[in-house]
Amino acid sequence: MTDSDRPASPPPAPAGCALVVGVGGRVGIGAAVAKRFATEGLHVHIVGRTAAKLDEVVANIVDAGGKASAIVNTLGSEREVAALFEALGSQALDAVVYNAAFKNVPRRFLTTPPAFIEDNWQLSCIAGLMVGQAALRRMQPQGRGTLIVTGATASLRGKPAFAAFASAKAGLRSWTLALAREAAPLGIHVAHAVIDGVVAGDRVKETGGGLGRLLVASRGKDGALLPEQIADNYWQLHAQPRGAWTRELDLRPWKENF
Amino acid sequence: MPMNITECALVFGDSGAGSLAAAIAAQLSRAGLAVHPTAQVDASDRAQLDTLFAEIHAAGRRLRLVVHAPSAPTTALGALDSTLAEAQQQWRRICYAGSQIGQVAIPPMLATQQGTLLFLAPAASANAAVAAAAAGLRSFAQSMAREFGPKNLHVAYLAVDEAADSAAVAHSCWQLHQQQRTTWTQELDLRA
Repeated sequence: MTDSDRPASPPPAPAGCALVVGVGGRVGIGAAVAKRFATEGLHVHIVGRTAAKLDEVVANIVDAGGKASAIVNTLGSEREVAALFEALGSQALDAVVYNAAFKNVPRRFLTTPPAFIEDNWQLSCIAGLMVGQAALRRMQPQGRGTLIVTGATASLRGKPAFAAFASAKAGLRSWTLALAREAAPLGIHVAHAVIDGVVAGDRVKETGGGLGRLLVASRGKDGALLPEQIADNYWQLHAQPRGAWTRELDLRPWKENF
Repeated sequence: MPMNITECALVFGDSGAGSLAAAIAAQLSRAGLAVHPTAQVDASDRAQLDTLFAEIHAAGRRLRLVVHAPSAPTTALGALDSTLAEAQQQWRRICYAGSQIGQVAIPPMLATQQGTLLFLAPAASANAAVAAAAAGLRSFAQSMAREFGPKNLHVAYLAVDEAADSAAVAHSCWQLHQQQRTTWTQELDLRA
């Protein structure tokens, strides 16, 4: 292959910003991704529901010499999602990570309230589509950008006690893969990351009065996914040259059951 | 057999002439299963479903088979161009309605420890809102199958090619209902 045949990637653009949607505790996928992307010189806007938690993550990034700011947003409507993107100003948008999900608590199917099904769908599925659409519209004139959407084991498999969560995650995966097909010709990389195991983050540790901690401990050494390592993989997705883009990446600890 | 314990089936979906739901209902009737009318019922409205099931219970009918066969719009729609209203509408009638049908149909089936639930949705729809709603429905069907299969309820998801012949699809619905539990299908694709 001669140099002129080589699938060329555009020349590196000056660092712009990244948007990480769905940042909760300091130890979690959202916070770790924000920190990782900030390390690469991007100004990272982090989005979550709780100002105090976001401020802690921002302080952590700034202390390490990075640039970060917090945006409180519940993603509850189209207007709220639009406001989120308006808050970014005119900086180039290099990457958007959608990591928000309705809290994954077990529910017996027959007694799952309709509102619980709808709330799951709203946050774990359709808000992701709205953020994805807004991200792509913003990136289209740039001709570049990356959208990474966090999936779960439940994106691929429905299970008792997690029917509503799994259904919403399956819907989000379908939307994301459709966006990926439409975005690629625009120069925008969309990827769905299937986090196929227990994540050793704050969310699981706060689950079920110590049950979550037990769950992580039960997996033994390196048995749970570490947020920093998930973040490394998200950065690698963003850094992929466009000649060979990954549309779906699964991440699983070495001894997680298939 | 006394009239008051007739076994029956329910078929949800657009029941107009030539529709998939109408073809399935016709197949079940031919096979000897009474099809309880659902034409006026919006399956995404829980109150309407509750009324229907109370009516079936009051009539002394035993529910053996429930089919959710939402119609498939053939208009292509990209994910980037989907409006929230479109996404929500498809989700409500395809995915959410399926969850509600499951919630009301499963308890009476558990009581008799027998029953089949078939959830149909378009396969590989060119309409991104329909495809996402179908993915959500498929997931619900999997969750229900894993939870209620061991309780003798057969739950299956059918991915139906939009160009597939309705009578042929109906034939496969009946075959699934006839399957023995040592060899239950959880997912079936039907192509034109």
